[in-house]
Amino acid sequence: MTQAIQVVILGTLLGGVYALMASGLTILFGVMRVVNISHAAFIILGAFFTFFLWESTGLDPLLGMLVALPVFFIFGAVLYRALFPRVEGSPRFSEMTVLLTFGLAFMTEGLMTYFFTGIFRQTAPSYRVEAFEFGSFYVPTAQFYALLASVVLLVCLWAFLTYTHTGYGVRATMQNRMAAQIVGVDVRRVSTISFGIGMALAGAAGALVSFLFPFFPARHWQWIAILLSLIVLGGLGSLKGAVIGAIGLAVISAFVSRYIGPVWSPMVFYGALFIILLVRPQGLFGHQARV
Amino acid sequence: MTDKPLDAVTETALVSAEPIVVDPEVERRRRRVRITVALVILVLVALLPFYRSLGAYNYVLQIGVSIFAWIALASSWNILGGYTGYISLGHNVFYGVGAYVSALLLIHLGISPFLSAALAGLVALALGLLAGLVTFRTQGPSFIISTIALLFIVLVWFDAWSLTGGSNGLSLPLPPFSREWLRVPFYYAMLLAALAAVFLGHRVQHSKFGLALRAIGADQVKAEVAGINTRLFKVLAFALSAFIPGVVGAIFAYSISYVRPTIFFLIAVGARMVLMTIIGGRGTVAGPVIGATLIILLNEASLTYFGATELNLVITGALLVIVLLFFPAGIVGSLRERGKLPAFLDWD
Amino acid sequence: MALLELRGIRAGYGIGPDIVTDVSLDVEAGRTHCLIGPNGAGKSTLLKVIAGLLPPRAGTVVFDGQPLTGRRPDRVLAGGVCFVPQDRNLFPEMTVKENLVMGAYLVRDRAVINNRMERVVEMFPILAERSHQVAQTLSGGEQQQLSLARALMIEPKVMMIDEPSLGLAPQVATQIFDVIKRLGADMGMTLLLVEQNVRMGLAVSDWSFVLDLGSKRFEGPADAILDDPRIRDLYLGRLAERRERPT
Repeated sequence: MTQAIQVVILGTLLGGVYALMASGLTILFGVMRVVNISHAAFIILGAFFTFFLWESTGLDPLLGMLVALPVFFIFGAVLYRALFPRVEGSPRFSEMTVLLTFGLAFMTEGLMTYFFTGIFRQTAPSYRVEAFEFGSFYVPTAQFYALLASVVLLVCLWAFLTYTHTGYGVRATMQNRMAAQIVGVDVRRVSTISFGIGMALAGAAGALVSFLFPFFPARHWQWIAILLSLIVLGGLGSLKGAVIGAIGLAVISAFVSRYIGPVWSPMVFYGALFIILLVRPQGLFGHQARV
Repeated sequence: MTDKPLDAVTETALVSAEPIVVDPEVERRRRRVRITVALVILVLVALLPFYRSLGAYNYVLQIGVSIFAWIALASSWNILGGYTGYISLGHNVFYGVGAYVSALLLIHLGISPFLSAALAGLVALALGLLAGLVTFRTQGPSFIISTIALLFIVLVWFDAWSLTGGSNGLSLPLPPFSREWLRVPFYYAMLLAALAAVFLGHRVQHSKFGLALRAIGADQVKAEVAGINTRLFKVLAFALSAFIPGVVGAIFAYSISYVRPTIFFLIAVGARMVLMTIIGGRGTVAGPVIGATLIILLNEASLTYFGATELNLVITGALLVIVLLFFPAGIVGSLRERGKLPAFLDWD
Repeated sequence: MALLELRGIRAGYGIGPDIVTDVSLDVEAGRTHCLIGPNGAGKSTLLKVIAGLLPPRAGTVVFDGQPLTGRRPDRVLAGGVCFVPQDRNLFPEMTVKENLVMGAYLVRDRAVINNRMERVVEMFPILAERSHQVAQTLSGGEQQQLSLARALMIEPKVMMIDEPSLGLAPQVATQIFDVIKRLGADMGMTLLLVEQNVRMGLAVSDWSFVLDLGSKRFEGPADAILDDPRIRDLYLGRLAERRERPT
C-alpha cells in the first residue's frame, strides 16, 4: 500500500510538469488552431537556455525560469507573426500547422545539435538530489519544486484568462473566433499574445526540465508524442482536459513503470489515445464538431 | 476571416476534376513525349548495372537503391496523403513492420526476403487496415497525432520485445551473392518496387477510386452526401498505401543485413516521405518521384560537402517550411498552375 | 447622405465565383431595412462584407462619410456598425452575463458596462433570470435574445441582423420581431435585416431591398413591396403564371 501511494505521489509530481507542458500546447490550439509539433523542441531550447544561464552565472534554474518567461514570450510573438499569418485563411489550417511546426521542430533540433551537440546535460542545483520525507513516503525536492512552479504558473494563467480584459478576449477567441471578431476582439493581437504565452510556458517547462531530466536535443520527440496524445485525449483545445489528462495519465504511467517496467510507461499515453479514439474520438472534454 | 477559401492543392484537384477541353493533337503529342522520355530513362536506369567500369560503382548503385526506395515510399504515402489530404506522419511504421516481418522469416525459416517481401507487404497492409479502422474515427490534426502515436507504440514495443531483438535489433544472414554483384539484385528489386508504386499511384489517379479520394480531400462532408462511403475509402487508401512500404522495408533490411528500431521507426524517416511528396507535389503521379529524387541527391550532396547530419535536419525542416509557405502545391503543382508543366512530368 | 452607403459591391469566397455581383444601396439613419430574396441571392454575404468578415472584390462601403471597405471586423464595430450573424454565435461556455460583458469588449469603463447591462436586461427580462446560466444551455429563442442583447451592449449606430427568426418556433420568432420593432420604432435604431420569413421581416421594416443572384433587383417601401408583382415572379417564377391558366 505504501508503495502504491508513493507511486501516486511520484506520478502526480510528474503530472504537474506535463500539465504545464500540455497547457502551452492547448492554448496554441484553442486560440489559433495551431498544432505545435515543435513545442517539445522549444521546451528543450528552454532547458538549454536555463542550463547555460546556470553554467555561466550560477543562476538557480527556478530563477532562470523567471528569466525564460519573458524571453520566450517575445520569441513566440515574433515567431507567430513571421510564420502563421500567411497561411491563416487555408481551409486545412490546422493540418498545415502540423506540417509547418514539424519542419520547425527539425530546424530547431538540428540547430540545437549543431551548436550544443548531443551530449546529455542537466543543471545541478542542490535540491536535485534531496528529498522531503513524511513517515514512510519521500517526496523528491526537485520534483516538488517543479510541481510548485507548475502550479503557480498554471494559476497565473487561469487568473489571466478569468480576470483580465485580454484574458477574456483569449477565452472568447478560443470558444468562438467569429463571435470574438464581431464583438470587437482584435484576434490578430490575441493570437500573437497567445502564441507568446504558449512559448513562454514552453520555456518555463524547459527550465524545470533542465534539473528534472538529463536532456539532449533529440529528446523532444519522446515528449511531443506523449504531449500530443495527451491533448487529443483531453480534447483538443480544452485546458481542463489537458491538466486532468496529464495528471491522470502520469499517475497511471508511474504505476506501469513501477510494476511492469519503465520502458512501457510511455505506452500508457499512446494506448490511452487509441482507447479514447474508439470510445470518444473528440476527447474527454472536447467538442463534437471540433477537429 | 474568409469562409472556405481553397488552398492551392484543393484548387488543383478541383481543376483537374473538371472536364478540360484540350486540343487532341497537343494532347497526343504530349503523350508521346512523356512515354518516350519515361522509356528512355527506364532503359538507361535498367542498364546502368552493366556499366561495370563506372567509377564508384557500388556507391552509385547504392544511391540508385536509395532513390528507388524513396520513390516507392513517397508514391505510396501520396495515395493517402496526397489525395485525401489525411496526413500520415507515422507512415514509416509500415516500412519498419515489413522489414521486421521478412527479417524474422529469414532468420527463423530461412526464407529469402526477395520471396517474402510481398508477404511482408501484406502484413503491413493488414496493419494499415486495422489502424485505419481506429484512426479514421478522427480527422485533421487528431488523425495526424494518432498516426504518430501508432509509430511510437510500435517503436516502444519492438524496442522492448525479445523476439525483435529489443533495442539492439537483429542481425540478418548475408545475401548469397558474390561481392562484386552484391548490390545488383537489390538495385533491380527496388527498381521494381518503385515502378510498382508509381504504377499503383497512376492507377489510383486515373480511377474512380482516386476520384472518390480526391472528393474526400476537397470536401468530405459533400463527398459523404454524394453517396461516397468515405470511411471505407479512407481505410482502403490507408491500407493500400501501406503495402509497398512493407515490401520496401523487407528488401532494404536485407540490403543492410540488419534491423533495428532506430533505423526504421524514427519519426525523421516518416517525415522524409512527407517532405518528398510535398516538395514534388501532392496528389500528382510525378510529384513523389521528383521529390524523392531531388531530396536524395540533395542529401548526398550535403553529406559530401558538409558531412554533418545536423545540418541535414535543419535543411529538411527549412525546406518543408519554405515549400509550405510559398509553394504549397509542390514542384509539379506549381508548374501546372502556371501552365508550364513539361510533358514528361504530366502524368495526371 | 445616407448613413451607410454601398456602391458596386462584388464579393465571393476564396477563389470561388462571385456571390454578390453588383450591389449598391443606401441605408438611411433611423429606419429599418429588410433585405429579402431567394436563397443564394447573396444577402448574408453582403452583410459579412460590410462587417469586415469578408473583403469585397470590388466596390465601396461608406459609413457616416468614412470609408469602411475591407476594414477589420473589430474596427468596423468600433465605428458603430455591429453584426449579429445567422448562427447564434455566442460564447458557449460563458454565462449570459459574461456574454453580455463581452458584447461591450471595446468599452473599458466598468461602470458604463454595468449601466448598459441593466438597461439591456430590461428589454430582455428573461436574460436577467438566466444571468448565471451558461450560454449553450439556453433555448433557441433565449440564445437569439442574448445575441441581440449582446449586440446592444456596444450601443451601435447600425445593427445588421442575419435571419433573426431562423430555427425558431413561430411564437418565439414573433417575440424576437417585437423586440426588433421596438429597437427600430422606439429606440430609433438603424437596422439592416436579412430575413427569409418575408412577411414578418417586412412587417417590422420601413424599407425593403430585393436581391437575386447577387444583385439588387428593386427596392421600395416595406408595406408596398409585397403587392409588387415582381416579387411573385422572383420567388415563384413562372409557376404562378401557369397556375392561373386553366388546365
